Amino acid sequence: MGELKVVKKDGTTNPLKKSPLLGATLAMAGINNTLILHHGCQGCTALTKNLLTAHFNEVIPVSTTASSDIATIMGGNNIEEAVNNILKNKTPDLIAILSTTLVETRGDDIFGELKTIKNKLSLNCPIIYINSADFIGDAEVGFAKAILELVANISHEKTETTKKINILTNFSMTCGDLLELKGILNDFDLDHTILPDISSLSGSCNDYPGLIKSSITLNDIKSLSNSEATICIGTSMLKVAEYLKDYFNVPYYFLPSITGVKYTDSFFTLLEEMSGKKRKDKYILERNILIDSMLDCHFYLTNKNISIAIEPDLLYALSYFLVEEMGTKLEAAVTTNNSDIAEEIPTNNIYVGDLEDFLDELKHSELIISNYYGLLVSKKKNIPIYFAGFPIKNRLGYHLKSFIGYRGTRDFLFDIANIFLDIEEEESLIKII
Amino acid sequence: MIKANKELFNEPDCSINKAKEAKERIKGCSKPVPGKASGGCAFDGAQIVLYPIADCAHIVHGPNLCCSHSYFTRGTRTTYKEPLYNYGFSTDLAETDIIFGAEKKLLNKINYVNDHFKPRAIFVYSTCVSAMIGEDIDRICKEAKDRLNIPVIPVDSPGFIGKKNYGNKLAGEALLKHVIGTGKPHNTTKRDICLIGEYNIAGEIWNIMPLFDELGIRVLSKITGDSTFDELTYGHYAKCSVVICSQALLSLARKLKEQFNIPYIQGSFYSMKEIKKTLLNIADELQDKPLRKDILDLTKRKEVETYKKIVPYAEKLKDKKVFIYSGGVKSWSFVYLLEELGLEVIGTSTRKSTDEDIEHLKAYFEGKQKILMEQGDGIKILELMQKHNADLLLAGGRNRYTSIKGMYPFVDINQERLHAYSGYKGIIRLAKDIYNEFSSPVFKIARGPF
Repeated sequence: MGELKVVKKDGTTNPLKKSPLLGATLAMAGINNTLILHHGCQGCTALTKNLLTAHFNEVIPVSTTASSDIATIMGGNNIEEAVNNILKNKTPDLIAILSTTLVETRGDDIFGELKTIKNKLSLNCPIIYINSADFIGDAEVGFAKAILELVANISHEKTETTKKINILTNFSMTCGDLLELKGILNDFDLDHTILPDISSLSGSCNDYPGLIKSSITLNDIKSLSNSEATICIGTSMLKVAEYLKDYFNVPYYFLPSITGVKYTDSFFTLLEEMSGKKRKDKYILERNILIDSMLDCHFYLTNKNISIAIEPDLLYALSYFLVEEMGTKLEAAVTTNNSDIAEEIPTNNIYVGDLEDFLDELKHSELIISNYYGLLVSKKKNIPIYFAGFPIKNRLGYHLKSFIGYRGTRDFLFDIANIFLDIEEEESLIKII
Repeated sequence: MIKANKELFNEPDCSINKAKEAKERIKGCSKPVPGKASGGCAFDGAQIVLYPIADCAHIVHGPNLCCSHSYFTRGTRTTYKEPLYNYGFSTDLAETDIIFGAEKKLLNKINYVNDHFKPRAIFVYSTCVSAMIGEDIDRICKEAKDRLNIPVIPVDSPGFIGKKNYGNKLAGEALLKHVIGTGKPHNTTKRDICLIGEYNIAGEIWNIMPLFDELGIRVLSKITGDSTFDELTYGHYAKCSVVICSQALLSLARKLKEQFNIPYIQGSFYSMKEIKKTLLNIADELQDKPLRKDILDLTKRKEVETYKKIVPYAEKLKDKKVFIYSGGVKSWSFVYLLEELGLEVIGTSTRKSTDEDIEHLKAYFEGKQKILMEQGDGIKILELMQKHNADLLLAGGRNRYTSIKGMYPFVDINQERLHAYSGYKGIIRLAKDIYNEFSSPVFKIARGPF
């Protein structure tokens, strides 16, 4: 457990972190019938959409206010014009204005502008504003911030306490994770609101969305305050859980991850308590299979050096399992924001930095885990890479992989162990030849 | 720093511009519409043009997003061993930089990149934020250039200044101002040309180069696909420049003509008809009679070969109905190409097309019922395909998911395309890709009852 170091240098070389704008966009892509409107120049939207589309193999509808040179210097009513243009053929339940670094640098009075718009256009849907400029961290931070703004602006005062529970999911959770999670919750017959639920990005081939499609509606957000409790998955989402507790008196349970034996056990125990039901037999079987798999795989993993460059919540989830439960060593970790969880990560060598810093730290690593951009490091160092995180543009279906629960952990473990198996096979083949 | 170059907005040789009324023309290139705009910004456009120069480093003076969302994504290919465009260098502007300025930071970054990566030259891009806070990148680049003794070139390309297309022009402008005209080739020949506006996406240029080689035409300077810095510096020694499928870099060609007296032609290497025409135009421009004959011989031979090679695919392609959603030169050159392959083109789009492009199409389609679609979205395209019983969609990557939603076979012909469709080799490749699409059993299952 080391102290989180921040690399001090001028600028970045091969940045690892992505913009809060991307995180906030992804978060809002988990709320049904939302109109996502980026406030800034059109390039921010195009570049962000490119990454999302490449990762999910799916179109995510996002619009832009397309600030031009004159609007940039003089200011203007681009938001009004954009909203007006879009509402001509769409009827969203919610409008989310996500600001870019450009407009935040200029210091626009966006709140004031929104007030005018509300009166002038007589909107019959709420409109929220999320500051997603690059100054406030990375995509994981932007994701959590968007959900916090959503809850703070939309949720109603508590009117009653229902049997429902809130589940907060973090930036690094995949569509596969969400689908697995929903399956588990349904098996406990737990009435739930998953915030946000991005699983619809896993694909649908027969409708052409003009707005976001998700299982979570605006009414679900309004009544978050009535829920019995919140389960918060991932440190980045704690702020939202705390908000729900402070303002609406909804207690929360916190799990930094639901990957690996310890955390999945805790998660199932929690669900048993909340539902008053025992877990189904299939989960006992799944746990047995996971334990057996761990025994099968440990021959290939114990004391192996691995390095990871990824967002903090996923970094913790994967490294805790690999190091504390499988006995590998985490040689170096590079992450994207100064999350509180960073200090819990099982290595002395952890930085907030870019992929150049990551490259410099690799001395004995036999495997790296990172997103698509880690490919360059892998090629340069000639070390195999396992892709996880966001974005993954050079693999199909990775957004459907799951890393959570007994089953997700098992699949992840086999993926990793097979890489080491390949290395050993190759070495012994060379000997034979 | 923020100054839109009026001339670039108002390219006199641009036929979109020529066709406008004088009053409209003053407004220049069209501005993005809030809520409707899509596509990249000027910064993105400038990068697309300059990134292929493989031995140069590209530093983005802006906040994190500009670089981190755009590096290591371009489809350009190079023969250069370790292309520096795989690296994303950024000053990653923070709030304190906005308040105190970041010129020192930029200078340090330039020094760092020079020391660690030894680039042949460095391009420095301004972005919305750095332009707005008034960072003087021209001065810093000059300072760095004097100290480091390598070219350090400012590219004034803040995103808000225009669309991607305008950024292409700004990049051309930077090349003209700082690069072209600064070098000298070892020797010159009377068949030296320069290619403008071909970025070697998916290796397209490699399908064309063998033709030039065989004809003894020397491509002195490639702007900028599969290029390195030095060949750009002496581009002005070419005897003729060829603008490929590009409205954006027309300004560059025109200025080369004005400053260095290099005539230019516009051409395309999609379809046998266009390849032949473009090559012949080059011969005419070079006033080279023997070359003309060689071209006729070569294209004749290649056409016979090509038709022979597409035979295995021909049966499945014959009379299938295809809709093309692409702009500019591609809107018509792909019509020729597909008809050469035996498909029936039911229509094409005319977005980004010039009047000249549209005239091409109208003349070609004369007397037939064809669709000329202006700007459309995915839903409109699908409606149209359904109405006309289309079998295939040819469009850019953005419409890949349109085709998937409608469960139509699809081939990508834009930036993210997987394969090169230029040259004769490209024609065969396209035939194969379309054949594969029609052979897939997936569509039947996907559409079938459940």
